[in-house]
Amino acid sequence: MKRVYLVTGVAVIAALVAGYALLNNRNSGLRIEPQPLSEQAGVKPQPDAVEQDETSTLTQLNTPFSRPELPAALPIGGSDLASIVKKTEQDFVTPMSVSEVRYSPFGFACERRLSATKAAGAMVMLAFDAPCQVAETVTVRHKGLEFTMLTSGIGRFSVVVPAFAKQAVFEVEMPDGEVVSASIFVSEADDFDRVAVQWAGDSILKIHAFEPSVGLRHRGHVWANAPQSVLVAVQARGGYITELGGVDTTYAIHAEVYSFPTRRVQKPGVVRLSIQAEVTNRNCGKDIQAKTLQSGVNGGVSMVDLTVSMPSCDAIGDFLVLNNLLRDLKIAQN
Amino acid sequence: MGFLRAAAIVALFAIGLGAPVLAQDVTLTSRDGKVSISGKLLSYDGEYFRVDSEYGALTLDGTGVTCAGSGCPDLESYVAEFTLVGAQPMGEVLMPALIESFAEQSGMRLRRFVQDDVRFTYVLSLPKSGKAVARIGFRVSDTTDGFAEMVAGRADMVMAMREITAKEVAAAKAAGLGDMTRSARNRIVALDGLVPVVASDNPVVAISLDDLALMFAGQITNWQEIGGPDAPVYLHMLAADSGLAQQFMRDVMGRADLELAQNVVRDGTAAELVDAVAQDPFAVGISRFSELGNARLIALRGVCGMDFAASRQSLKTEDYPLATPLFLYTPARRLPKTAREFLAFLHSPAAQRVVRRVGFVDQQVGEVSIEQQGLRLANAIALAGDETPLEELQRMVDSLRPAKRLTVTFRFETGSTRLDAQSRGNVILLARLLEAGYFGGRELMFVGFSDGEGDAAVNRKIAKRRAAAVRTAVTNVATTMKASDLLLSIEGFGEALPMACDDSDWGRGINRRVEVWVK
Repeated sequence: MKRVYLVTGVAVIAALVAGYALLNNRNSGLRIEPQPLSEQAGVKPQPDAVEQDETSTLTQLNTPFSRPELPAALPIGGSDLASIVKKTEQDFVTPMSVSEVRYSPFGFACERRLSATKAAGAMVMLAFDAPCQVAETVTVRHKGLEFTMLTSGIGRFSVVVPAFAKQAVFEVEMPDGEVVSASIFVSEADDFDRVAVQWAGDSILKIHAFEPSVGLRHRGHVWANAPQSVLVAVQARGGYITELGGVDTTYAIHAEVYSFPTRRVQKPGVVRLSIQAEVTNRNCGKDIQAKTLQSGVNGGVSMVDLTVSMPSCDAIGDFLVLNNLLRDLKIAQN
Repeated sequence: MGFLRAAAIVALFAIGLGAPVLAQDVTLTSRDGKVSISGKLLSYDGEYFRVDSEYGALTLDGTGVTCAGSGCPDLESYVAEFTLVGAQPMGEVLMPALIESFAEQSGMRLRRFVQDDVRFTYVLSLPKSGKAVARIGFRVSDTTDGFAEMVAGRADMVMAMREITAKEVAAAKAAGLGDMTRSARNRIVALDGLVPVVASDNPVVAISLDDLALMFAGQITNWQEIGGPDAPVYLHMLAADSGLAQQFMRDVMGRADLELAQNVVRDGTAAELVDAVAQDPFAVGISRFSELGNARLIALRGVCGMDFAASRQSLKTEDYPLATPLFLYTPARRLPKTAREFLAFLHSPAAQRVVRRVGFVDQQVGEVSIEQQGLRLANAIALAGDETPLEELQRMVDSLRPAKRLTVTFRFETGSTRLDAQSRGNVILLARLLEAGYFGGRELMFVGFSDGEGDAAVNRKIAKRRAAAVRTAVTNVATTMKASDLLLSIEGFGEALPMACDDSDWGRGINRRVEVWVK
């Protein structure tokens, strides 16, 4: 028993001494002095080695503190450097203000980033991150499409937007006027026909699409209350509605997009399109400012500014049906 | 931000148009003060005053006079105003698309003020200042109403699916609008065709014009009678005052001397008609080539077995018997500058692209090589005989083989030597191309054909005479073309290359034609 105590006691004392030594090694005799690495490695440096064979390369790797002199002629000349810098700037798609780095209350740098990722059905997922832009209304723009989003409590929002062109550029404008953009190549964009209507304020314009019936279960009437999914379009069975705009203020801009996979559908026919607006006590007798987007007669996207005179207030509850603002989509025989 | 800007433009527009030209008293005095005319101002187009004076309606150049009186327009804020009224097929899509394209081409901003589907107004404005330049009103109804509104002074352009009738011509003349049959008073904007449509699951692919007339007269009531399934026929037709229904009554029912059956379902628009037909495998309807929806068009069959389906090419060449040109009529008064620029734009290749893009048939001249006309040649061989011997066919093939047929073709009104409306338009179209040097030194052959009635030798002569008449009509219009610029030859092959069977009126009408070949 006694021997056990003794051994334990010795071990404890030894441990204490060792701990003390470690704690005080900065100013104690136990401190390890740094030694030249070359001596540690046991080889002499070769300061004049210009011609390098395998051995000398190895030597260099082992002796980083005594690098041989680099060759006098550097491969990057003045003009090359300028072009490389320029190229880097061109590829730099997300400009940020870096002059003065500020931080959000959560300690994130006040950068503004927009990233674009491809999603199914020629859609693009936009992720916006601006830690210092908390709960602000920002405007998203793409090929004439325009809507407003509200950033979250940590300055973020994400939204899935239909791409109106293969070379899709998206812009987010901040209240201070700064614009952040992102671009992405969406190869399937041309398979789809897209039409959109957008408006400011709370007047609700709805796109109604009447698709040729494809099967028994397919009812064919697609609109905001029956938006149909992207999956249907991916399978070339019909189109779908995307509602955009996440703010409910007077100046908020809302957009509604209808997409139809025209170039994937085999059966010829027509999708009838109309815009409908319910006459409410807030919009009756007033003018609604809106905008339509559809494929232009000369290619590209054509936009038309609209002023819609809502019927008088005796018609509250009725619907104003406008069949000719959007041209019907024609599916040609392949 | 875009919306605020738009609102600002609307505000400007409201101020600018606060005082449209109303009939108010003005006194126009010449610059030297010697001549002065008073009266009610009828219109001001930015350049010219029109005044209802004691001498009647007078037009005065605005640069030569000063205006005094309560009715004087504000010359700075002048906005061209004109209104299009008439046929729905043109008013709902085609003309709006052309206005939008015109605004884009002229670099102007555009806003559409919408009341509903049939009443809307475009305001064109300058891109920088936002100053309104033109205000273009639309009222979409039907062709008949369009002409009536023009006579009543409420339309500056009539959208018409058919030619103006003699009665309408007289009314326009009486209203002081001029002779609407003159070529300056109307122009063809696009081509279309009247087509029978069925649901896509209806097995019938062709029907003769006679059977079609009997069907709509209620004398063929089961599809079985024309080789279809044993099922009743349901008839669909547009409203009686639509230009399309009127044309059907004249060209199909009228020729067969038949009345429309009582149980025809009347649809409001061609879109509603084809949508109804598309859902009913036993329905047949009369629509237009530009509005097929989810229905399918059926071809017209001659008794000797040749089928004619409406297509872009057969409508351009009028080889399809029921082609319907779409007209724009304008009264004989000076229209505002923007209106005249718009009319000029309608002839441009850009406008023709718009026409094609929105589903109508454009008037761009195409060339068809003889290899693509195999069916016609096969027909010619099949119908050759004593009247048209082998030598005659060989002579024809020899002269046409190195050439290509233009889509421009000339045909005549039934029982008349007068060119039909589309062909009269083609005279101007071809003359314009010749003046522009479009064919650059190639030879143009005017090739006449006839129907098979009567002696073949006589028919050859008649055919050649027709070709010469058409050539004269074209060169009379192409005034700036030098005769030495281009070789314009004539040829006649009589009944050698029939397009249709001679067993019917319409078949013979299609065969009597002058084609243009280029080499």
